[in-house]
Amino acid sequence: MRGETIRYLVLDADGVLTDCRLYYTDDGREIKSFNVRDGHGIKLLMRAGIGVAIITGRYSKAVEHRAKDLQIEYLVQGAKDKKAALLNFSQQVGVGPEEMAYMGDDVVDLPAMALCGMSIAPNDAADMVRERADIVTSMRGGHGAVREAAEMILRRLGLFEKAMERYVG
Amino acid sequence: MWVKLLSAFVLLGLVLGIGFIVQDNDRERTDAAGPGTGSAEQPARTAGGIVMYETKPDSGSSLVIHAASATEGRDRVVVLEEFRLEQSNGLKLTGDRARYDSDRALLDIIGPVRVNTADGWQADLNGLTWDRKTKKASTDRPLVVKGAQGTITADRGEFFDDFNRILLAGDVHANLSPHLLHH
Repeated sequence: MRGETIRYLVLDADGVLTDCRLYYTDDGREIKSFNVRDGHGIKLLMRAGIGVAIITGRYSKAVEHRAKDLQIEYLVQGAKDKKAALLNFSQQVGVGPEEMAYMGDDVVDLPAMALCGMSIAPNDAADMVRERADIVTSMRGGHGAVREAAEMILRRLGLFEKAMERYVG
Repeated sequence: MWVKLLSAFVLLGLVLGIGFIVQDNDRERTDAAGPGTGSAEQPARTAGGIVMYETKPDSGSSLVIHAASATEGRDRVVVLEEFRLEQSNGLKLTGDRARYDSDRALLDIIGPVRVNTADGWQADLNGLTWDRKTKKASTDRPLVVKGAQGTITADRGEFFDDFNRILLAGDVHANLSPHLLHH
């Protein structure tokens, strides 16, 4: 069964961790907004022993900062071929794509999504992505979609209750 | 002669017709944008629990804003509630409510705000306008500045170079460490 064992969640950045809007000011500053609950979802996964990686087609200092703040060790930016980036990551960590979940929002993510054991799309992903994803979250990208995916993975692996112990006793 | 005159009328008609079409298109665009476009009073969307990163690709400087909620107006002015702002040089600002105009790099804080600098100074203010492009901030209300070397109160203040230099004005009182005065 696909997605029975998930050892990594691989995330796209724009449209998944953010709401897809890119802000550039006239003096070259870039602004990206992330959701705090998504960040906590990533932390929950990491505490449960599930690794998190970001593979994005763009290059952004803001994503670099966010990854650093969340202690996400594996960040690939400027990945024009996400499937190749995923395979490279898979080789580096010694975990096959079938043991990874991939969350993406656009057609460029489809080849990588098809390789993984579980594919997830935010609610506002491109139609083709939503149609092909194993799971479509009820939340939009940048608005809690990653948190929802994280909780869903934890539940599927039977780790959710343990992850919540520190909050609800 | 008549042919020329008729051609002129047809040409005039075409020009006027195009003029009307252009006007109609403009009206359509305005209608589609809806009322209140360009006004910060018309929120486009609200998000709860955000972390906003502002970075400059050619330098290491960055600004991180944490906020319990952010409401973005259609003019891209963001109203932040319960915010904490951290600049890569160690400067921190915390407050209840602020408006951030990212295009103009202008932060307007409403109500109490605390400023902590990397070298250990803390300022408690009520209202602050910070122009991040010119690195100048000002408040026209009483403030208290505290540090290891003493406490200073004043009626108003201006801050330069990202709060590295302070100009205090009005009824200024300083309670400084004797150690500092000996030097």
